[in-house]
Amino acid sequence: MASYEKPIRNLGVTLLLLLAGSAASLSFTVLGLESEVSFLFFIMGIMIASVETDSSWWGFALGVMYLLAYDLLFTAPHFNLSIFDQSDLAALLIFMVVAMISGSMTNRLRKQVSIVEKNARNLKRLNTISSGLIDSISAEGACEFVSIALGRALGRVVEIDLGKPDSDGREGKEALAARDCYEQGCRTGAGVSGYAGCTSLYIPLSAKTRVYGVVSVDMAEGELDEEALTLVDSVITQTVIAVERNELEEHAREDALRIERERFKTTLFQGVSHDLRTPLVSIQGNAELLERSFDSISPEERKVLLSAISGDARWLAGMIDNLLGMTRVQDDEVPLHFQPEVVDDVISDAVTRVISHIGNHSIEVSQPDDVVLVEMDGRLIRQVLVNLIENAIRHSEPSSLITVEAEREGNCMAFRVSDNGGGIALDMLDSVFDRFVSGKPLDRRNKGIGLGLSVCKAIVEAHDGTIRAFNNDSGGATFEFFLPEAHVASSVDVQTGGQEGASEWHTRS
Amino acid sequence: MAHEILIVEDDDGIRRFLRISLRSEGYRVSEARTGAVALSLFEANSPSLVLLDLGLPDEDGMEVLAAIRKRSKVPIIVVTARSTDFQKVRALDAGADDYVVKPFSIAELLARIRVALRHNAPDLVDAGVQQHYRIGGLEVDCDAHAVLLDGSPVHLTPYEFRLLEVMMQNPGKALTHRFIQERVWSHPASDGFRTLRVIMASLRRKLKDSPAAPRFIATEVGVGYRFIGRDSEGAKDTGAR
Repeated sequence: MASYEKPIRNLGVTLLLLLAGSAASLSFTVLGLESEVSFLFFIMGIMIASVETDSSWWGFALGVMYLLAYDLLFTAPHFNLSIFDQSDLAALLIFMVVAMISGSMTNRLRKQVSIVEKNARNLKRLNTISSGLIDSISAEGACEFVSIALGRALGRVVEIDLGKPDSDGREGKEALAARDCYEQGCRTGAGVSGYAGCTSLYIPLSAKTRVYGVVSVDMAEGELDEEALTLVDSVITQTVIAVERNELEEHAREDALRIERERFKTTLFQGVSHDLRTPLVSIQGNAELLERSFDSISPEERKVLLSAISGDARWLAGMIDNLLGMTRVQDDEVPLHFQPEVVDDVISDAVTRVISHIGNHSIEVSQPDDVVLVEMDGRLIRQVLVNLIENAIRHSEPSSLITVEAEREGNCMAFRVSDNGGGIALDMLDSVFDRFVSGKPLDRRNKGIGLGLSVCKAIVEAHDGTIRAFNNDSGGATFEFFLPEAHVASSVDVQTGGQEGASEWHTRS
Repeated sequence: MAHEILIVEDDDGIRRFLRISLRSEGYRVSEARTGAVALSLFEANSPSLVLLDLGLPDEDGMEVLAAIRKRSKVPIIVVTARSTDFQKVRALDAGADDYVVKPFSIAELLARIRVALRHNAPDLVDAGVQQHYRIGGLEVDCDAHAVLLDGSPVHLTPYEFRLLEVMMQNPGKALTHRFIQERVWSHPASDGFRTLRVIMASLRRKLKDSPAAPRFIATEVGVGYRFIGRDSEGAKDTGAR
């Protein structure tokens, strides 16, 4: 279509200008003006034709047509081609020169404009891709983004393999070309000699000495033009920079994490050894006392000493649970055991575990209205609940009411453990989950380095959840944690939801 | 006649403390430090219950468990350390009746032993599958598929009923998800026991089990469920009164 439009338009413009020139020339003659005026007008027409059409030949043709028209219409004898006189020939020559000069000038101008436009378009594409790359937070993410954006800009399928390209999904020749590209760091595939039969072009994603991966561009629809190749080159440079930056950031993050972990271990060992010693001293002391002077101690006192021993022992056992929990969350080697657990079950198990030693406190439980399954490591979340309940027991006055509740809030499951026993000092609110921070316990027995709460935080965060503490309306403290959407899975419509989403994506793309 | 209990435990301190506790409860006790001794003592004494530490030095406790199971249906309670408590599910699936995790409370262990011995009593074993259960306010008629809770009828779906039936057939025992799954559906679960958990939760709601103090079914996160039939332990006392 487009190839026919241009000549038709050019012809139209030329004919229109011929008509206008003839009409003007006619009116000038009627008005009694000299023929020079008409000639000047013709020159103007030729210049317009040169600008409006895409070849100087149209201007030249118009010049000839003007002359013929003038000769036919205005010079005697009318309606008869008289032989050109010398001045007509001169005029014809001038017309030709004018047409040539103006035509080539406008064409040059037009070319420059189109180059500027192309550059602007490429710059815009490049800019879009660059700003997308700046936002990327991983090398994989950067490559995925570029493959989509570049694919859209070129109208081709573009794929990026980070690292050595795997041969899955590629036929023998293609796989070989991709591998060569990665290993030799040069272009291979379609259009490169020695790779006949390949339908994709493989360009190394490389900087200086290192090849990060391979970019493959589908060439089944033909070669890329100069402009497209330039774009591909610039985008690849940008991608390499983004990949390098992300790798550096990843290293930095890992380092920071390792340092943090080391620091944590040190603090943990210091805190734990101190904290294990305290109940051990008490156990040892009480036991030796009973051993040595069993008969001289009254039965009531014996009972007190014995229950102190078993209390301390239970505390130590809880401590070990927390330490194991902490190591599991911290240890990347052993992944958490995520399974769909019914919220009721986890709460029930946690509460029945502490109920034997709640003393004269009471516990009230409120469960969600529906049976809700949450993807979690059940034993760790149970431990969070046990710790929070024990924390409430430890830090509230005797005969306090402790409530444990769970409810669905938006896309999260919210768990709350509240008491009405005093609350948390305002300056402690922000730091309760920090390692080894402990509020002032009510008596000496209720010791604790606050390991329990920091374990809670670590476990909840390992579930991509959040935890916080605040003082509630009933004069106590509330500890609240949320397990997020990804970890909440209702018992129904899990499959259908996913499939609908997928089909929607296909129709859109 | 007093029950004989075989203790298989390599730690002297724990073994001594178990021996003293069990003897003071009126049980006869035999002790083994290794798997090999345990098996020969088992042959010689045919105890009524075995208390088996899974962390034995010479032989994996799991192997001793399997060897005993091959010979006898005697109740086995396994003892695991906290850091290796993942073993307990394996042990339960391999035929153990119950488990305790170190450090355990002796009161809890004695309760488990009583439950295991009671449900292994000859009259109960020979009775096989019962048709009618009546435990602490819960009455179940398997033929009529009827359930009464404190006298009023409870409507259960077929799967809920089957689940309750399986639980009541194994009172006091820690039942793993896998065990229950096989009994109720007779095929393995492909959904991480999702369906089982949901139906169990709905059953417990229908039985009005309070999460803080369940009357019938207790949860053991990471293991499975246990039918506790709270009143059954006190039944003797009520009867004597």
